[in-house]
Amino acid sequence: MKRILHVAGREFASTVLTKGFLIGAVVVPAIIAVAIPVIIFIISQQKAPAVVGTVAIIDPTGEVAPRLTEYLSPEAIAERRGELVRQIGEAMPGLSGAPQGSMDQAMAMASGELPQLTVEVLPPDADFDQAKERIRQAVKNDPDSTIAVARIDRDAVEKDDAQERFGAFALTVMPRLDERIISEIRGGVRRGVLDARYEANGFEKAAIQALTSVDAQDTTEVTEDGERTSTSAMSFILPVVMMMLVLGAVFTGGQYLLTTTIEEKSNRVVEVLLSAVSPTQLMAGKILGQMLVGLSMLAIYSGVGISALIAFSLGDLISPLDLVWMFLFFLTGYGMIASLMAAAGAAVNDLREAQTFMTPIMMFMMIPYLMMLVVPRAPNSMLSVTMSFIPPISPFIMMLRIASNDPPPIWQILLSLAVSAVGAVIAIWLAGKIFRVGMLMFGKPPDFRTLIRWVRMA
Amino acid sequence: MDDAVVIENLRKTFGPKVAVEGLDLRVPTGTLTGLIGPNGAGKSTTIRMLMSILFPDSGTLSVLGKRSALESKDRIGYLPEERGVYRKMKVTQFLKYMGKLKGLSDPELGNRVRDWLDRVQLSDAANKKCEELSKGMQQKVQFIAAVLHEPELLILDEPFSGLDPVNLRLLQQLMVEQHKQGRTVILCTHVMFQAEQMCERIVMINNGQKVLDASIQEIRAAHEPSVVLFEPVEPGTADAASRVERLDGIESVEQTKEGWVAHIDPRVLPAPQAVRAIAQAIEVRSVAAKRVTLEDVFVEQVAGESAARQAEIRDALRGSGDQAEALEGAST
Repeated sequence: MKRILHVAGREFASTVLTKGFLIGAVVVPAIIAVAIPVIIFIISQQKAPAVVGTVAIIDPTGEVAPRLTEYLSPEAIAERRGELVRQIGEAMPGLSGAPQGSMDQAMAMASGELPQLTVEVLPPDADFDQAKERIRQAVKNDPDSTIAVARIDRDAVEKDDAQERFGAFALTVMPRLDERIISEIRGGVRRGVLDARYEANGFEKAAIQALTSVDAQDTTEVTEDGERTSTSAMSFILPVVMMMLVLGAVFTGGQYLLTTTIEEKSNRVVEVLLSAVSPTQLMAGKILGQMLVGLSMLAIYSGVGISALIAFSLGDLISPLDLVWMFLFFLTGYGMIASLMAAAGAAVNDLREAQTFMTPIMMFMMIPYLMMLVVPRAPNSMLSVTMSFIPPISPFIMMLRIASNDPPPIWQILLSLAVSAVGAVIAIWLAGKIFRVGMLMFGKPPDFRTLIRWVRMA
Repeated sequence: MDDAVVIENLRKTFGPKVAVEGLDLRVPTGTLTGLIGPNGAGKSTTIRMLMSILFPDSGTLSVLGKRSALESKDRIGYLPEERGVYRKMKVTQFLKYMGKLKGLSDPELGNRVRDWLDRVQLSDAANKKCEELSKGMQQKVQFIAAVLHEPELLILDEPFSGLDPVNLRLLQQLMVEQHKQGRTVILCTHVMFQAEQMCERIVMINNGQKVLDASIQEIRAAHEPSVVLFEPVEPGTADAASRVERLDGIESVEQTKEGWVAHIDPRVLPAPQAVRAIAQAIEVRSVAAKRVTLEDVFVEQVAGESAARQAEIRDALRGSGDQAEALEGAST
């Protein structure tokens, strides 16, 4: 056992201390963790330009221009943004813990500083093209420069009975005008047209708004601890994420196992090692070492994911038992896939030759990827249930089911675990046989028939 | 004397190829035994079975009193024919790892690694990556890995291949030193000259079968010299040659690049008497019986092989000229 641990220790250390692993497992999550607050900070420091200018409007109806003037006043803009902050706060309860000041600041960042816009009403018969010319001559940040021209159709507010549709409006803006400002102007014109139509048709704006808006209550879920806002989107994403975590960790460990096995073989260091340990001990040590590598990956990425869920008050979406299942299904999945990859590494002389044996393994591994869109929607369908009992994909399909909205009964989880464990034992046994013969075979890579002969030989 | 290694009726096949067939072998404890034979004779396969790296199809073996080397790996040092190191590992790190696999632990392990690196003049390379070392240096590192844990049995498979004369001599000295310290050493080589220089016991293998198993003295006693080299005072004189040729027991005389050679029939005229007879018959600067080499013995043992195969075997058994010269230098 001591020898196995020595082999495992070397395997683990020589893998996690490589640049590739440090970048993939530590640096990338660290960059993500650091980058998000940094980006937010940078954005917070970026003062959106205080847009100053004139919005010209040709309004033959005479109804839209006053409404636009009111809509674009700094006070009205500030009020709308305040309302938006309130809505976001309700939609994302995880952010509710943030101080109100920082929310306002965040919104100020997102929408920029309040623009100082003056609305200039042009004569109703003013030429639109001439008005556009004013935009060409506009100077940035000059309050008298025209940054946008809106033209309202004569029949935009009132139409003849014969007419099927109302008239429209056109908007022309200066190049590279801030998108948020364009949105404000367009919204203002649209609002103005609509409000004018309500009034012209004898409707009360407030009544129309009341009729056309429904304050829907949030969909809630009843849990053992009470009720919570529905997380239907998360209940689809979570199984996929958990399955990808397990699959990714299994594959990372397996890939390293493949490459280090090939390296030991091509370096010819294997016979030196086999003078000190048996082939079984060597393979066991390598599998154990790379399993720790996979577990480290799983722990790092799961840790980041769980922290994110907790930050958004969604921590209760994952139960500690889910994490236990994830750990156990990782072990069985790793046992099946990684040991076969070790056998593939032992059978060949270089990575290129390994592709022959990797292809069938990869084809199996594609199945969970394909099923990740199907299983979470119907976790207890015949297809989902059946596939969660077929090694070597059983651990991954079962993870999709466990993290879904409708988790399987415990006996199915345990049965899948048992089937996967048996699959892992068989895979390790087969791999051990191939490993023992393959590690000392050089030259032409074997075909599948030769592999079967090796299994019989060893 | 106990036997460090006992092999009985060992057989190993790889598909249709029979690598080892009915091999019986005993290596007495404390001896330096040469396991010799041409490439592909089955030496490395035998050694790998001894080390439990490969497993025999049939037959039994015992290593240091155990049924398998797996039970006594800590007591065996092995330098395989296929050399290898972890390229990215530092020399000290690699040796410590190998030492740990052999059951050693710090701080003793650290001290031993330092001492050995010092002895093979690799102290400066202690913190270098293995890939930065020359092939010869790597070979010395591997030799250290084989002896670091002070094994009772040391198995060296082609230890001199690829070494320059200086390192070859150093490694030979270290091997002899290990033997003098009471360790059983098995030297596996296809270069007979090396085995002849160093070993006290020889086991010859050909086509997976043992063809000879005896001490050097026994081999020499059983194979009387059949050639006498002589140098007449007046070299090149046909008269001297014809006088020698007329002696009883002399079969023929010829002039070769080694000088004048008299082929004798040892049963009629043993070599010592032939030397005396030639010295009396002609005036000579020197006359001496030419000792039978292992190569001659081996070729005699495989006399059933075709002439072409025998020539091939002779070439294989001679090894490189450099190695032979270096070993000659080391033995003087």
